[in-house]
Amino acid sequence: MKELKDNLESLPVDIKLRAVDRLKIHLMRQKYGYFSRLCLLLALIGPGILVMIADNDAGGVITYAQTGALFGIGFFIPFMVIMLPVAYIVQEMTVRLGAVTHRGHAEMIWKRYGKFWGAFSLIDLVIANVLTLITEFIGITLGMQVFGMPPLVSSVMAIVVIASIQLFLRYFAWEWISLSIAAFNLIFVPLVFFVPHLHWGAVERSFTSWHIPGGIHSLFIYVVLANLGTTIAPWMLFFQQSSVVDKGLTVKDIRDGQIDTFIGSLFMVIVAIAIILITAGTVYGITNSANLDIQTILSAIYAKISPLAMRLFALGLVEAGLIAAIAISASTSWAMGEAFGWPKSINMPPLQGWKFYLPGIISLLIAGGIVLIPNAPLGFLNLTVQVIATIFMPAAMMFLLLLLNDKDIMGEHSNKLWQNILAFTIVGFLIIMNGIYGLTVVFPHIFGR
Amino acid sequence: MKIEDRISKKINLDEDWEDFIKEEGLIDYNKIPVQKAQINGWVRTAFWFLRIYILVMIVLVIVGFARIH
Repeated sequence: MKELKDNLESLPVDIKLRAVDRLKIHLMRQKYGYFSRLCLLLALIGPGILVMIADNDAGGVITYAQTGALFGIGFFIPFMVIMLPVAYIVQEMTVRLGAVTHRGHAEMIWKRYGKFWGAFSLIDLVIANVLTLITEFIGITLGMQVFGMPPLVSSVMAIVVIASIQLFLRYFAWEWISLSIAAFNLIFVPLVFFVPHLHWGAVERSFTSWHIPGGIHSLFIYVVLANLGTTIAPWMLFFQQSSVVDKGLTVKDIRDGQIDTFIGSLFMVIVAIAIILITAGTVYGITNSANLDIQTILSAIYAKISPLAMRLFALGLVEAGLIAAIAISASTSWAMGEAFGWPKSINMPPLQGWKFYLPGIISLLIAGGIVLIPNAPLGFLNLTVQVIATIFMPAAMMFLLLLLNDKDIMGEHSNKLWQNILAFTIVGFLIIMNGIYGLTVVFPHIFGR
Repeated sequence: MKIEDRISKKINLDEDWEDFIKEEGLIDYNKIPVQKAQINGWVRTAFWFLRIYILVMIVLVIVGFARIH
């Protein structure tokens, strides 16, 4: 026993703190019964729900809102349902990879495939994360303006809140605070029941008809690709794997990690469908412009449902930006720590883990500052983030599949044949669609006007 | 351990801690090196595909941005 205690003393502080949480899990696992099992599941869920809810970020909310406003409920309701298995299959692989290797995605790429691909992935991730954070701050400041808060105040407040919960909370508390914020993502769901003249029969029929208003044209392709890009993003792979590692999940926890990922995927799709239904019932038919802005959508909700509904929608937009900013800044910190061998745990005290926290906080300061610059080229920045994600996504996916098929590191947990068939089909489809998305961003009229 | 013992299990921290250490290991993975992967067969092909894809996309981006400005 003394030897065990001496060994524990020699371990870094983050591992010691994680051991306390893991001991609780170990004790829970010793007990049988439905209640004990539920307690164990509740203790183990987190990374999957967080990543999926954070994926419904400010940009995602705006994309879904525009989708409903432009195309109604015809095609995109069944399309979003199909996104559930797509998101689940991709993200589930990160659970197994993290639980088996106990290392993040950035570290595995860097160490398994060399410095070039490691640096390529890290640079892409960090740039894309900073640019995506700008879109989150746009959502936060726009949403808070509805409540009369100036952008300067809302931006500073968001930076302080996000930095504080990262710096001063341990992983366990950080996760539960983040999940509590994420719960507000469901604010869009009850709003659906106040949409006037929403015909549930039409929603039901959409699954058999897959009706595309106006047929297939360039705007439709653009919206399909934007929804696809919103569902799966490179930072999600890095975030969930690092989160699984920081939480300390092991191979015994894989099943719970899979349940966590499924619950997250389900919430993500329910919220996405709710947003599409809200704008399909309030804005659809008003305009067919691709440049439909969020203020127009908020005004339509104000007029067609109620001022309270508009405020709740704005609050949802703020929450979406906030939870995504928490997740994205954490993924930047984890990736930098993993790549350079720095501390890489939210369990680290601020002074001991300053190298870990610094990249995430710098990215928050850059993004929070850029949205305050008058006449900042936000459209150009949004275009750049799409282009970087387009180039980066196939690389991140390819490394994920290579690692999941690497028997030397994954052993019995490597992908089975059926998992590979599904994963390669999804990845192949995503690569093609990402390529087309890249083309449409660079050449907007490639599929006609 | 019998099922009924598990249901009414009392926590004995010393005993559970030892069990826990045995099961979890509490390893500092930073100190365990990761071996570099062998790149051959279909993996080599995948890397070439990736290089070509990135090159094509970078050319498209340069052309696209040049047209914007």
